[in-house]
Amino acid sequence: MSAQDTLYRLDHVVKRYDGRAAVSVSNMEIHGHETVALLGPNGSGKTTLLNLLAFLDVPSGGEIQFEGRAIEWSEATMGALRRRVTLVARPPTMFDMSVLGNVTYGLRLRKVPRNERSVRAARALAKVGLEGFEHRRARKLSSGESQRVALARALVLQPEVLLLDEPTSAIHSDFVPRIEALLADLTRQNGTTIVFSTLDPAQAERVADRVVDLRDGSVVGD
Amino acid sequence: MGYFSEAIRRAFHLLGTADPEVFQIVFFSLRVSLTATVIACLIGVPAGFLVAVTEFRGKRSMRVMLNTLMAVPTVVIGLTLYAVLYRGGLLGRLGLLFTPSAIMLGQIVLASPIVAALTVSSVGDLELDVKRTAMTLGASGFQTLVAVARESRYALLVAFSAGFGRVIAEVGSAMMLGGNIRGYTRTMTTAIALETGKGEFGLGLALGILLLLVALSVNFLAQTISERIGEGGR
Repeated sequence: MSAQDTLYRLDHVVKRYDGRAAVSVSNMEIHGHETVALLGPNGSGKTTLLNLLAFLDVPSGGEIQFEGRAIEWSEATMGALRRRVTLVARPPTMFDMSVLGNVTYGLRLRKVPRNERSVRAARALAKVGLEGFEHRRARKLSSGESQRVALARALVLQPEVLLLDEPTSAIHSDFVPRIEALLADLTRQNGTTIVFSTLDPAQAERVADRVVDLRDGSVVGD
Repeated sequence: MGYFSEAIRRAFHLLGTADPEVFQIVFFSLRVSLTATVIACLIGVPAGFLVAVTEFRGKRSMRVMLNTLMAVPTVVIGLTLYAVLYRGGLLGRLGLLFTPSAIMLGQIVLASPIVAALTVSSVGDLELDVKRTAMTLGASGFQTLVAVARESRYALLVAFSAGFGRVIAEVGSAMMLGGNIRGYTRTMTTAIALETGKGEFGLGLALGILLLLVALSVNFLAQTISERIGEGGR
Protein backbone atom coordinates (compact mmCIF):
# COMPACT_ATOMS: atom_id res chain seq x y z
CA MET A 1 0.00 0.00 0.00
CA SER A 2 1.46 3.36 -0.99
CA ALA A 3 1.07 6.49 1.04
CA GLN A 4 -1.51 7.79 -1.41
CA ASP A 5 -3.78 4.76 -1.08
CA THR A 6 -7.03 5.41 0.65
CA LEU A 7 -7.28 3.18 3.68
CA TYR A 8 -10.65 4.33 5.03
CA ARG A 9 -13.41 6.01 3.08
CA LEU A 10 -16.49 7.18 4.97
CA ASP A 11 -19.55 7.95 2.92
CA HIS A 12 -22.48 9.61 4.69
CA VAL A 13 -21.70 7.72 7.87
CA VAL A 14 -24.08 8.33 10.76
CA LYS A 15 -23.99 6.91 14.26
CA ARG A 16 -27.02 7.62 16.42
CA TYR A 17 -27.58 7.06 20.10
CA ASP A 18 -31.15 7.39 21.37
CA GLY A 19 -32.12 9.07 18.12
CA ARG A 20 -29.37 11.70 18.36
CA ALA A 21 -26.57 11.68 15.79
CA ALA A 22 -23.29 11.46 17.70
CA VAL A 23 -21.42 11.33 14.39
CA SER A 24 -22.55 12.44 10.94
CA VAL A 25 -19.72 12.49 8.41
CA SER A 26 -20.72 13.01 4.80
CA ASN A 27 -17.30 12.33 3.35
CA MET A 28 -13.92 11.56 4.81
CA GLU A 29 -10.81 9.70 3.75
CA ILE A 30 -7.83 8.43 5.69
CA HIS A 31 -4.76 7.42 3.74
CA GLY A 32 -2.23 4.76 4.54
CA HIS A 33 0.86 5.75 6.56
CA GLU A 34 -0.52 9.12 7.58
CA THR A 35 -1.16 10.54 11.01
CA VAL A 36 -4.55 12.16 11.40
CA ALA A 37 -5.67 14.20 14.37
CA LEU A 38 -9.35 14.42 15.23
CA LEU A 39 -9.63 17.77 16.93
CA GLY A 40 -12.70 18.94 18.76
CA PRO A 41 -14.23 19.74 22.14
CA ASN A 42 -15.85 17.19 24.42
CA GLY A 43 -18.96 15.72 22.83
CA SER A 44 -17.86 16.48 19.29
CA GLY A 45 -17.95 12.81 18.26
CA LYS A 46 -14.24 11.95 18.36
CA THR A 47 -14.63 8.81 20.48
CA THR A 48 -17.65 7.62 18.52
CA LEU A 49 -15.75 8.06 15.26
CA LEU A 50 -12.74 6.16 16.63
CA ASN A 51 -15.01 3.30 17.74
CA LEU A 52 -16.41 3.12 14.19
CA LEU A 53 -12.91 3.14 12.69
CA ALA A 54 -11.93 0.38 15.16
CA PHE A 55 -14.85 -1.76 13.95
CA LEU A 56 -16.21 -1.89 17.47
CA ASP A 57 -19.46 -0.17 16.54
CA VAL A 58 -21.70 -0.51 13.53
CA PRO A 59 -22.83 2.74 11.88
CA SER A 60 -26.53 3.56 11.95
CA GLY A 61 -26.32 4.63 8.32
CA GLY A 62 -23.90 5.19 5.43
CA GLU A 63 -20.92 3.16 4.33
CA ILE A 64 -17.37 2.66 5.54
CA GLN A 65 -14.84 1.28 3.09
CA PHE A 66 -11.55 -0.21 4.17
CA GLU A 67 -8.89 -0.69 1.49
CA GLY A 68 -11.53 0.04 -1.14
CA ARG A 69 -14.02 -2.57 0.04
CA ALA A 70 -17.28 -1.77 1.77
CA ILE A 71 -17.38 -3.26 5.24
CA GLU A 72 -19.83 -6.09 5.79
CA TRP A 73 -20.75 -5.70 9.41
CA SER A 74 -20.64 -9.40 10.15
CA GLU A 75 -18.82 -10.56 13.27
CA ALA A 76 -16.39 -12.64 11.17
CA THR A 77 -15.38 -9.70 8.95
CA MET A 78 -15.10 -7.29 11.85
CA GLY A 79 -13.10 -9.83 13.86
CA ALA A 80 -10.57 -10.21 11.04
CA LEU A 81 -10.25 -6.44 10.63
CA ARG A 82 -9.81 -5.91 14.37
CA ARG A 83 -6.60 -7.94 14.17
CA ARG A 84 -5.19 -5.17 11.95
CA VAL A 85 -6.62 -2.16 13.76
CA THR A 86 -6.10 -1.49 17.46
CA LEU A 87 -7.77 1.17 19.58
CA VAL A 88 -6.35 2.60 22.78
CA ALA A 89 -9.45 3.80 24.59
CA ARG A 90 -9.77 6.57 27.15
CA PRO A 91 -9.72 5.76 29.98
CA PRO A 92 -8.14 2.43 29.13
CA THR A 93 -9.50 -0.72 30.75
CA MET A 94 -6.80 -2.70 32.47
CA PHE A 95 -7.38 -6.41 32.82
CA ASP A 96 -7.04 -7.53 36.42
CA MET A 97 -3.65 -9.12 36.00
CA SER A 98 -0.03 -8.00 35.90
CA VAL A 99 1.27 -5.35 33.51
CA LEU A 100 3.03 -8.12 31.59
CA GLY A 101 -0.23 -10.08 31.38
CA ASN A 102 -1.95 -7.04 29.95
CA VAL A 103 0.75 -6.19 27.44
CA THR A 104 1.03 -9.77 26.18
CA TYR A 105 -2.75 -10.39 26.07
CA GLY A 106 -3.08 -9.79 22.32
CA LEU A 107 0.08 -11.78 21.62
CA ARG A 108 -1.32 -14.75 23.55
CA LEU A 109 -4.46 -14.57 21.43
CA ARG A 110 -2.22 -14.66 18.35
CA LYS A 111 -0.34 -17.65 19.79
CA VAL A 112 3.03 -15.91 19.81
CA PRO A 113 5.57 -18.08 21.70
CA ARG A 114 6.17 -17.15 25.35
CA ASN A 115 9.83 -16.08 24.91
CA GLU A 116 9.00 -13.81 22.03
CA ARG A 117 6.07 -12.37 23.99
CA SER A 118 8.34 -11.40 26.86
CA VAL A 119 10.91 -9.79 24.59
CA ARG A 120 8.31 -7.81 22.67
CA ALA A 121 6.53 -6.74 25.86
CA ALA A 122 9.78 -5.53 27.44
CA ARG A 123 10.56 -3.56 24.30
CA ALA A 124 7.08 -1.98 24.19
CA LEU A 125 7.20 -1.09 27.88
CA ALA A 126 10.62 0.51 27.42
CA LYS A 127 9.19 2.64 24.61
CA VAL A 128 6.59 4.10 26.96
CA GLY A 129 9.08 4.50 29.80
CA LEU A 130 7.79 1.68 31.99
CA GLU A 131 10.83 -0.57 32.16
CA GLY A 132 10.62 -2.93 35.13
CA PHE A 133 6.84 -2.58 35.49
CA GLU A 134 6.15 -6.10 34.18
CA HIS A 135 5.12 -7.65 37.48
CA ARG A 136 3.12 -4.76 38.90
CA ARG A 137 -0.64 -5.18 39.24
CA ALA A 138 -2.14 -3.25 36.33
CA ARG A 139 -5.17 -2.07 38.34
CA LYS A 140 -2.89 -0.52 40.96
CA LEU A 141 -1.25 1.86 38.49
CA SER A 142 -1.94 5.58 38.24
CA SER A 143 -4.12 6.77 35.37
CA GLY A 144 -1.07 8.05 33.48
CA GLU A 145 0.77 4.77 33.90
CA SER A 146 -2.36 2.87 32.81
CA GLN A 147 -2.53 4.98 29.68
CA ARG A 148 1.10 4.14 28.90
CA VAL A 149 0.52 0.41 29.55
CA ALA A 150 -2.48 0.54 27.21
CA LEU A 151 -0.28 2.15 24.57
CA ALA A 152 2.38 -0.55 25.06
CA ARG A 153 -0.37 -3.20 24.85
CA ALA A 154 -1.31 -1.85 21.44
CA LEU A 155 2.25 -1.21 20.21
CA VAL A 156 3.32 -4.77 20.94
CA LEU A 157 0.81 -5.99 18.33
CA GLN A 158 2.38 -3.80 15.63
CA PRO A 159 -1.02 -2.95 14.18
CA GLU A 160 -1.36 -1.51 10.69
CA VAL A 161 -3.69 1.13 12.08
CA LEU A 162 -3.36 2.56 15.57
CA LEU A 163 -6.31 4.52 16.92
CA LEU A 164 -5.77 6.58 20.05
CA ASP A 165 -8.39 8.40 22.09
CA GLU A 166 -6.67 11.41 23.67
CA PRO A 167 -3.48 9.38 24.19
CA THR A 168 -1.76 11.84 26.50
CA SER A 169 -4.77 13.09 28.48
CA ALA A 170 -3.61 11.50 31.76
CA ILE A 171 0.13 11.63 31.15
CA HIS A 172 2.35 14.13 32.92
CA SER A 173 3.35 17.02 30.67
CA ASP A 174 7.05 16.15 31.04
CA PHE A 175 6.42 12.84 29.36
CA VAL A 176 4.10 14.02 26.58
CA PRO A 177 6.91 14.93 24.12
CA ARG A 178 8.28 11.38 24.41
CA ILE A 179 4.89 9.88 23.52
CA GLU A 180 4.47 12.31 20.64
CA ALA A 181 7.93 11.42 19.34
CA LEU A 182 7.05 7.74 19.65
CA LEU A 183 3.95 8.23 17.50
CA ALA A 184 5.96 10.11 14.87
CA ASP A 185 8.53 7.28 14.80
CA LEU A 186 5.80 4.69 14.37
CA THR A 187 4.57 6.23 11.15
CA ARG A 188 8.06 7.04 9.87
CA GLN A 189 9.72 3.71 10.67
CA ASN A 190 6.88 1.18 10.56
CA GLY A 191 4.43 2.90 8.26
CA THR A 192 1.70 2.67 10.88
CA THR A 193 -1.39 4.69 10.11
CA ILE A 194 -2.36 6.67 13.19
CA VAL A 195 -5.63 8.38 13.98
CA PHE A 196 -5.76 10.11 17.33
CA SER A 197 -8.19 12.42 19.03
CA THR A 198 -7.12 15.47 20.98
CA LEU A 199 -8.53 18.55 22.62
CA ASP A 200 -5.26 20.40 22.05
CA PRO A 201 -4.83 22.21 18.70
CA ALA A 202 -1.10 22.62 19.33
CA GLN A 203 -0.67 18.87 19.80
CA ALA A 204 -2.67 18.21 16.65
CA GLU A 205 -0.36 20.52 14.69
CA ARG A 206 2.80 19.06 16.25
CA VAL A 207 2.00 15.40 15.67
CA ALA A 208 -0.41 15.05 12.75
CA ASP A 209 0.00 15.25 8.99
CA ARG A 210 -3.65 16.24 8.80
CA VAL A 211 -6.06 17.78 11.26
CA VAL A 212 -9.77 17.02 11.04
CA ASP A 213 -11.94 19.46 12.96
CA LEU A 214 -15.06 17.96 14.47
CA ARG A 215 -18.03 19.86 15.90
CA ASP A 216 -21.29 18.22 16.99
CA GLY A 217 -20.34 15.04 15.19
CA SER A 218 -19.64 16.66 11.83
CA VAL A 219 -16.41 17.51 10.06
CA VAL A 220 -16.09 21.29 9.90
CA GLY A 221 -12.52 21.51 8.70
CA ASP A 222 -9.92 19.21 7.11
CA MET B 1 -27.01 -9.27 79.59
CA GLY B 2 -27.33 -12.61 81.41
CA TYR B 3 -28.37 -14.32 78.21
CA PHE B 4 -25.37 -13.02 76.32
CA SER B 5 -22.75 -13.97 78.89
CA GLU B 6 -24.45 -17.35 79.31
CA ALA B 7 -24.59 -17.79 75.52
CA ILE B 8 -20.93 -16.94 75.01
CA ARG B 9 -19.93 -19.24 77.88
CA ARG B 10 -22.02 -22.10 76.47
CA ALA B 11 -20.80 -21.51 72.91
CA PHE B 12 -17.19 -21.88 74.02
CA HIS B 13 -18.14 -24.82 76.23
CA LEU B 14 -19.80 -26.55 73.27
CA LEU B 15 -16.76 -25.89 71.13
CA GLY B 16 -14.31 -26.84 73.87
CA THR B 17 -16.01 -30.10 74.76
CA ALA B 18 -16.56 -30.93 71.07
CA ASP B 19 -20.20 -31.77 71.82
CA PRO B 20 -20.96 -34.51 69.24
CA GLU B 21 -24.56 -33.48 68.65
CA VAL B 22 -23.65 -29.84 68.08
CA PHE B 23 -20.82 -30.79 65.76
CA GLN B 24 -23.14 -33.11 63.84
CA ILE B 25 -25.59 -30.22 63.40
CA VAL B 26 -22.83 -27.80 62.35
CA PHE B 27 -21.32 -30.19 59.81
CA PHE B 28 -24.74 -31.17 58.48
CA SER B 29 -25.66 -27.49 58.01
CA LEU B 30 -22.34 -26.80 56.30
CA ARG B 31 -22.61 -29.81 54.01
CA VAL B 32 -26.17 -29.04 52.94
CA SER B 33 -25.66 -25.29 52.54
CA LEU B 34 -22.34 -25.52 50.70
CA THR B 35 -23.69 -28.16 48.33
CA ALA B 36 -26.83 -26.11 47.70
CA THR B 37 -24.77 -22.95 47.10
CA VAL B 38 -22.43 -24.70 44.68
CA ILE B 39 -25.42 -26.08 42.73
CA ALA B 40 -27.08 -22.63 42.85
CA CYS B 41 -23.87 -21.15 41.40
CA LEU B 42 -23.82 -23.78 38.65
CA ILE B 43 -27.33 -22.61 37.73
CA GLY B 44 -27.20 -18.92 38.63
CA VAL B 45 -23.77 -17.92 37.27
CA PRO B 46 -24.28 -19.14 33.67
CA ALA B 47 -27.86 -17.85 33.69
CA GLY B 48 -26.79 -14.44 35.01
CA PHE B 49 -23.86 -14.32 32.62
CA LEU B 50 -26.15 -15.08 29.69
CA VAL B 51 -28.62 -12.39 30.71
CA ALA B 52 -25.77 -9.87 31.12
CA VAL B 53 -23.99 -10.45 27.82
CA THR B 54 -26.91 -11.04 25.46
CA GLU B 55 -29.43 -8.55 24.17
CA PHE B 56 -33.02 -9.76 24.00
CA ARG B 57 -36.54 -8.49 24.40
CA GLY B 58 -37.63 -8.56 28.00
CA LYS B 59 -34.10 -8.29 29.40
CA ARG B 60 -35.19 -5.49 31.74
CA SER B 61 -38.19 -7.50 32.94
CA MET B 62 -35.91 -10.47 33.53
CA ARG B 63 -33.65 -8.36 35.75
CA VAL B 64 -36.64 -7.02 37.68
CA MET B 65 -37.91 -10.58 38.16
CA LEU B 66 -34.53 -11.81 39.42
CA ASN B 67 -34.31 -8.93 41.87
CA THR B 68 -37.83 -9.69 43.07
CA LEU B 69 -37.04 -13.38 43.55
CA MET B 70 -34.19 -12.35 45.85
CA ALA B 71 -36.80 -11.05 48.26
CA VAL B 72 -39.13 -14.08 48.33
CA PRO B 73 -39.64 -15.17 51.95
CA THR B 74 -38.12 -18.54 52.76
CA VAL B 75 -41.41 -19.85 54.14
CA VAL B 76 -43.08 -19.18 50.78
CA ILE B 77 -40.41 -21.28 49.08
CA GLY B 78 -40.82 -23.90 51.78
CA LEU B 79 -44.58 -23.94 51.39
CA THR B 80 -44.45 -24.13 47.57
CA LEU B 81 -41.95 -26.97 47.60
CA TYR B 82 -43.89 -28.71 50.36
CA ALA B 83 -46.92 -28.73 48.06
CA VAL B 84 -44.79 -30.32 45.34
CA LEU B 85 -42.98 -32.84 47.56
CA TYR B 86 -45.70 -34.07 49.94
CA ARG B 87 -47.05 -37.56 49.34
CA GLY B 88 -49.91 -36.38 47.08
CA GLY B 89 -47.81 -33.71 45.33
CA LEU B 90 -46.30 -33.62 41.86
CA LEU B 91 -43.01 -35.17 43.02
CA GLY B 92 -44.43 -36.96 46.06
CA ARG B 93 -43.44 -40.38 44.73
CA LEU B 94 -39.77 -39.48 45.11
CA GLY B 95 -40.18 -39.46 48.89
CA LEU B 96 -37.97 -36.41 49.34
CA LEU B 97 -39.97 -34.59 51.98
CA PHE B 98 -38.25 -34.43 55.39
CA THR B 99 -34.91 -35.47 53.93
CA PRO B 100 -31.64 -33.53 53.55
CA SER B 101 -32.31 -33.45 49.78
CA ALA B 102 -35.52 -31.51 50.37
CA ILE B 103 -33.67 -28.92 52.46
CA MET B 104 -31.04 -28.67 49.76
CA LEU B 105 -33.69 -28.22 47.08
CA GLY B 106 -35.25 -25.37 49.02
CA GLN B 107 -31.86 -23.73 49.47
CA ILE B 108 -31.05 -24.09 45.76
CA VAL B 109 -34.33 -22.37 44.87
CA LEU B 110 -33.53 -19.69 47.42
CA ALA B 111 -29.93 -19.02 46.37
CA SER B 112 -30.11 -19.33 42.57
CA PRO B 113 -31.87 -15.98 41.94
CA ILE B 114 -29.44 -14.23 44.31
CA VAL B 115 -26.43 -15.64 42.51
CA ALA B 116 -27.98 -14.91 39.10
CA ALA B 117 -28.98 -11.33 39.98
CA LEU B 118 -25.56 -10.50 41.44
CA THR B 119 -23.88 -12.06 38.39
CA VAL B 120 -26.01 -9.97 36.02
CA SER B 121 -25.17 -6.85 37.98
CA SER B 122 -21.43 -7.44 38.29
CA VAL B 123 -20.88 -8.72 34.75
CA GLY B 124 -23.07 -5.93 33.36
CA ASP B 125 -20.89 -3.29 35.02
CA LEU B 126 -17.73 -4.69 33.51
CA GLU B 127 -19.00 -6.15 30.32
CA LEU B 128 -18.81 -3.31 27.80
CA ASP B 129 -15.35 -1.99 28.70
CA VAL B 130 -13.75 -5.42 29.01
CA LYS B 131 -15.51 -6.64 25.89
CA ARG B 132 -14.31 -3.73 23.77
CA THR B 133 -10.77 -3.96 25.11
CA ALA B 134 -10.56 -7.67 24.38
CA MET B 135 -12.10 -7.21 20.95
CA THR B 136 -9.75 -4.44 19.87
CA LEU B 137 -6.80 -6.58 20.97
CA GLY B 138 -8.00 -9.29 18.61
CA ALA B 139 -10.19 -11.56 20.76
CA SER B 140 -12.81 -13.70 19.05
CA GLY B 141 -16.37 -13.80 20.37
CA PHE B 142 -15.60 -16.74 22.64
CA GLN B 143 -12.28 -15.27 23.82
CA THR B 144 -14.12 -12.06 24.65
CA LEU B 145 -16.60 -13.97 26.81
CA VAL B 146 -13.71 -15.71 28.58
CA ALA B 147 -12.14 -12.31 29.27
CA VAL B 148 -15.42 -10.97 30.70
CA ALA B 149 -15.83 -14.09 32.87
CA ARG B 150 -12.26 -13.82 34.11
CA GLU B 151 -12.64 -10.17 35.01
CA SER B 152 -15.89 -10.93 36.86
CA ARG B 153 -14.36 -13.59 39.08
CA TYR B 154 -14.25 -11.52 42.28
CA ALA B 155 -17.85 -10.50 41.86
CA LEU B 156 -18.77 -14.13 41.32
CA LEU B 157 -17.18 -15.00 44.65
CA VAL B 158 -19.25 -12.26 46.22
CA ALA B 159 -22.33 -13.87 44.63
CA PHE B 160 -21.26 -17.21 46.14
CA SER B 161 -20.80 -15.64 49.58
CA ALA B 162 -24.17 -13.86 49.38
CA GLY B 163 -25.91 -17.08 48.30
CA PHE B 164 -24.24 -19.06 51.07
CA GLY B 165 -25.05 -16.40 53.64
CA ARG B 166 -28.70 -16.52 52.68
CA VAL B 167 -29.05 -20.32 52.82
CA ILE B 168 -27.01 -21.05 55.94
CA ALA B 169 -29.09 -18.50 57.83
CA GLU B 170 -32.55 -19.44 56.57
CA VAL B 171 -34.93 -21.33 58.83
CA GLY B 172 -38.36 -21.29 57.17
CA SER B 173 -37.83 -23.67 54.29
CA ALA B 174 -35.41 -25.93 56.23
CA MET B 175 -38.03 -26.35 58.93
CA MET B 176 -40.90 -27.05 56.53
CA LEU B 177 -39.02 -29.31 54.12
CA GLY B 178 -36.62 -30.98 56.55
CA GLY B 179 -38.90 -31.35 59.56
CA ASN B 180 -36.10 -30.67 62.05
CA ILE B 181 -35.51 -34.39 62.70
CA ARG B 182 -32.79 -34.92 65.31
CA GLY B 183 -29.64 -36.40 63.86
CA TYR B 184 -31.06 -36.39 60.34
CA THR B 185 -32.38 -33.03 59.13
CA ARG B 186 -31.66 -30.73 62.05
CA THR B 187 -29.73 -27.66 60.90
CA MET B 188 -28.21 -24.94 63.03
CA THR B 189 -31.12 -22.58 62.41
CA THR B 190 -33.83 -25.15 63.08
CA ALA B 191 -31.97 -26.18 66.23
CA ILE B 192 -31.88 -22.53 67.33
CA ALA B 193 -35.64 -22.25 66.73
CA LEU B 194 -36.24 -25.45 68.71
CA GLU B 195 -34.04 -24.49 71.66
CA THR B 196 -35.60 -21.03 71.81
CA GLY B 197 -39.06 -22.64 71.76
CA LYS B 198 -38.04 -24.78 74.72
CA GLY B 199 -36.91 -21.70 76.62
CA GLU B 200 -33.22 -22.63 76.24
CA PHE B 201 -32.25 -19.13 75.17
CA GLY B 202 -28.61 -19.54 76.18
CA LEU B 203 -28.15 -22.64 74.07
CA GLY B 204 -30.04 -21.03 71.17
CA LEU B 205 -27.81 -18.01 71.30
CA ALA B 206 -24.71 -20.21 71.59
CA LEU B 207 -25.73 -21.99 68.41
CA GLY B 208 -26.26 -18.55 66.86
CA ILE B 209 -22.70 -17.61 67.73
CA LEU B 210 -21.48 -20.85 66.16
CA LEU B 211 -23.53 -20.05 63.06
CA LEU B 212 -21.84 -16.67 62.80
CA LEU B 213 -18.41 -18.28 63.24
CA VAL B 214 -19.19 -20.77 60.47
CA ALA B 215 -20.38 -18.00 58.13
CA LEU B 216 -17.30 -15.94 59.00
CA SER B 217 -14.98 -18.88 58.25
CA VAL B 218 -16.58 -19.60 54.87
CA ASN B 219 -16.48 -15.93 53.86
CA PHE B 220 -12.88 -15.63 55.03
CA LEU B 221 -12.01 -18.68 52.94
CA ALA B 222 -13.80 -17.25 49.89
CA GLN B 223 -11.97 -13.93 50.34
CA THR B 224 -8.60 -15.69 50.64
CA ILE B 225 -9.26 -17.75 47.52
CA SER B 226 -10.31 -14.59 45.70
CA GLU B 227 -7.07 -12.82 46.65
CA ARG B 228 -4.97 -15.83 45.71
CA ILE B 229 -6.60 -15.93 42.28
CA GLY B 230 -5.90 -12.23 41.93
CA GLU B 231 -2.22 -12.65 42.81
CA GLY B 232 -1.98 -15.54 40.38
CA GLY B 233 -3.06 -13.40 37.41
CA ARG B 234 -0.35 -13.32 34.80
